Amino acid sequence: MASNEPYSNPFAVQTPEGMSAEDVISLFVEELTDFHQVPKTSHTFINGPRGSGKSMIFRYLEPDCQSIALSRPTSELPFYSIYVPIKETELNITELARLTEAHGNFVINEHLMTINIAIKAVASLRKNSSITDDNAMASKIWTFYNASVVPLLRQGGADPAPALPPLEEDADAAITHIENTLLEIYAVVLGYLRRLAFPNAQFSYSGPLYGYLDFLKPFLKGMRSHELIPPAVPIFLLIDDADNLNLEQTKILNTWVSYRTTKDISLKLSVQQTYKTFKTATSKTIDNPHDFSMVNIYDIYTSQKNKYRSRVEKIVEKRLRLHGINVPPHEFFPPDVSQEKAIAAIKEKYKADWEKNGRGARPQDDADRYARPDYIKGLRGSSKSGSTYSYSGFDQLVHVSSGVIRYFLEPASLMFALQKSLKPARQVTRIEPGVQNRVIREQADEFLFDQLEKLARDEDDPTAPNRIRKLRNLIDGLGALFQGILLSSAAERRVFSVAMSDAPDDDVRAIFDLGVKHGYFHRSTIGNKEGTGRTDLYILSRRLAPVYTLDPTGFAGYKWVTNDFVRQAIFSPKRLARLIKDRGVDQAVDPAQPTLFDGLEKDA
Amino acid sequence: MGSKKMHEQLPLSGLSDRIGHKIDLFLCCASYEPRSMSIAASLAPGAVAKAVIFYNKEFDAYIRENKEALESLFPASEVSKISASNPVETADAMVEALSASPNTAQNILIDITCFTHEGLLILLQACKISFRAHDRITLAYSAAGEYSVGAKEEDKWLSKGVREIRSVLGYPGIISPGRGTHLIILLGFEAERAQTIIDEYEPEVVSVGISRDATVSGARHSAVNLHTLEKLSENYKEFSAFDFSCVDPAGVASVIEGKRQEHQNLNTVIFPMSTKLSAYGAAIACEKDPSMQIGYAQPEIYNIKNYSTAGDVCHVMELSTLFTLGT
Repeated sequence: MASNEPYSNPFAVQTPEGMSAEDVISLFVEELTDFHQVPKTSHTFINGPRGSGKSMIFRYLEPDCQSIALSRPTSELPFYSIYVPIKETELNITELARLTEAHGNFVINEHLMTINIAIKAVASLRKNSSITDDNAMASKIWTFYNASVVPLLRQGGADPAPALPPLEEDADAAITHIENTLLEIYAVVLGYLRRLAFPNAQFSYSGPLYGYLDFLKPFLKGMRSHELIPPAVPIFLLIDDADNLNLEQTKILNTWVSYRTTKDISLKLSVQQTYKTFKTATSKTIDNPHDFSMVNIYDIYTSQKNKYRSRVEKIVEKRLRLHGINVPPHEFFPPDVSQEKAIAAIKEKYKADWEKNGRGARPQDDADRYARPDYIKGLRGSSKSGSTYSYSGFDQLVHVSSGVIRYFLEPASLMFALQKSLKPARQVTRIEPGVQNRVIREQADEFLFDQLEKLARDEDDPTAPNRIRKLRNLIDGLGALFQGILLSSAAERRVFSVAMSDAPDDDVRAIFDLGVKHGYFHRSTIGNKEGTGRTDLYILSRRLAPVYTLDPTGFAGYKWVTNDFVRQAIFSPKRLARLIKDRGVDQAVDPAQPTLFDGLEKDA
Repeated sequence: MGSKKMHEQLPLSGLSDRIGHKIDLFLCCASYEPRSMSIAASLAPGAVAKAVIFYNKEFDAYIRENKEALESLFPASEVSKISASNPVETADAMVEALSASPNTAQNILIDITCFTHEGLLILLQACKISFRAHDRITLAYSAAGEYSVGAKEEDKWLSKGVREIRSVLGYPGIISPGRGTHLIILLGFEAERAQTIIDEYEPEVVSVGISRDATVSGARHSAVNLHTLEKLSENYKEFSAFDFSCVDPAGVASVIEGKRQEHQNLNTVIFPMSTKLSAYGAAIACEKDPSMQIGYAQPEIYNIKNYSTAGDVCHVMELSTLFTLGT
């Protein structure tokens, strides 16, 4: 990838959809992910927050990239992928709300989705140079149109004329003809929906109708049987951002997942935690692993911490090298030397003291666990503020990114731009710790303060606090809790998660859901205290570490909390903060249990 | 109804004379903003035969006082509940409220100031089907004195967060599958909301409109916001700024059309986030070219306590002839 405008910044976050196959190959890191689970013949959900790399995986699976990656022509690939991005407000247009509860809701939505995907499938042929460069393909495309597409369209109520191929063999013209035919059908349903917005009379849809089983599946199989795509391999439909579908469309997609079509077509769906439902149109639920497999990108970060760090390292190495910067990532992002020296000195003290007072299994355990928190505690003692702690160094930046590659690349991009602006004449070969720290702190403030209301937390406000204020209270409450733990003498002080020891009520769940939606929390589950099942685990984004001066390193513990505690954080945050400060964490979390056991558990 | 000028700016004190004749129907939206009263209070007593006062049910507690004040200004008034979260409910309420139009020609005045952007856009469509070619519709907009009252320039805010992004009912566009997106944003105060929209759409092209005739404070804020968004420009192949007039709807429509022509091979989605006048301009552009979609990012919260102060200037214009009534 050439280092030219506008991508002169090695960390520019580019949309994979627009990247060339060569650029994708040069940047994609296949190993150290669960990528290998995706290109299997099965329906698969790829679940991860925005920016975690789902679209990049899909782009990498497309034929042009696979052809380079496997050093094979498209005709010899083991599967054929068709990229189907679902853009915001593309399929989910507001007019469709008129059909909720109406007869025809399922049918119209499925028709819209079917034709939308068929158009994208045909358009994707243009990315395949073995088709566009091969004029012999043109006759295959025309044959596909006349022998497969026309009959299918007629079955559903349209009446397209068979096409006479032009004298010139032109694959692109053939593709365009099929696209335009489908676009005309698409326009009919869009026209119906437009009239639905402000109905001044009762009217019904009278255009053609198509669905997955009667149209899309035979359409795609027809592309294969007419050798527009490799003839004997499974087809993967890569449906990106499936959470942009409305509720009915989501149920329809789940219905497609419930069909046993994987021999021919596997659906690969990228989703976030906002995916609306796993119910089908008939209210059954699709299940993992019976109906689909689930790849959770975020779990890779939480359960295999070194893999994520190694993946980021490889990505950064590649990006730097492509921009002619031959510096290892940890040198490009150096830590604050004096801070690390001071922390190293504290580590040595813990190692030396371990025989007598050690808590961990090994001296290094205590050193790793307590040195940085002690350093932060020491800063607060002297300056009454932890704001002199520096969030710099490659490792800290990796941790702060919270398992989402974008949250490493975006701040890195800003750091690069800022560093360059300080010394414009020189090539950037490192980002000064001060620059790293400044950007990370600014990003944390922007993430929390700019996006949430800057209102005073007024517990006496007679009007009910709004959702955003409640969320802000909850984040502040947990931030204060984690800070309290960091500054305490607890066995593990680097805590970023809470596990619910009893079921959250509707209010609490709604606020946590809002926090998950906006990226402040990640939701997972953990075995409950009783050992009888699982309960919710909420992980605060490490991007907020600078706001509460928390140590972002390590994957240590979670704190058991009750629904009452969380309610107190939401509705009486000032009281809770005072309680934590005056009586300590354990009393604040569980006032009925004054004993010293801190109920802290470690990650599995 | 007086002058046939397309668009006029005049002091509120001159509005009553400008309107001249009796107003058969007055439409407005009650709000927590003091300027939701400005146009109404400037009309001559008895000038309005009938008023329909819309209000967003989500803000009921905050707008009650102004709603009641509007009701007392217009004895023959009807209150119609709409929703900032449910566009279908809003559309139905508006059509129902306007459904009693008589067959004789009416003089209609609409105070567009305090509708949400989405609400105003839906109202324009409701007017299209509820009124007839012989009705004369005048739009009025009361400019604010100050936005985000009392806050420092860099701290000014009107709304925060994005609860939901949706297409505006009546402006679905013709979004062709497989084509990239050209996002046109008419920027107001909220750079972070614009940033969220850009993040969600991952467009091929981003065109950010900056108002060239905002208030002095607004102009400073626009510069800050543009700088914020320019930080994103490294991530997008085509990211450009253009200027537009936030008080000239026809001018806005023309600029949008020009931007559209630059990228005809892409789906165009417009987010009007500046004044209601410029939102009206976006609606005019879509009347000419229905292939463009208008989107709306519903905020999480509004700066209810300090949103704005009332100014002493208003803008008056006739409904564009492009809005063919009775369709």
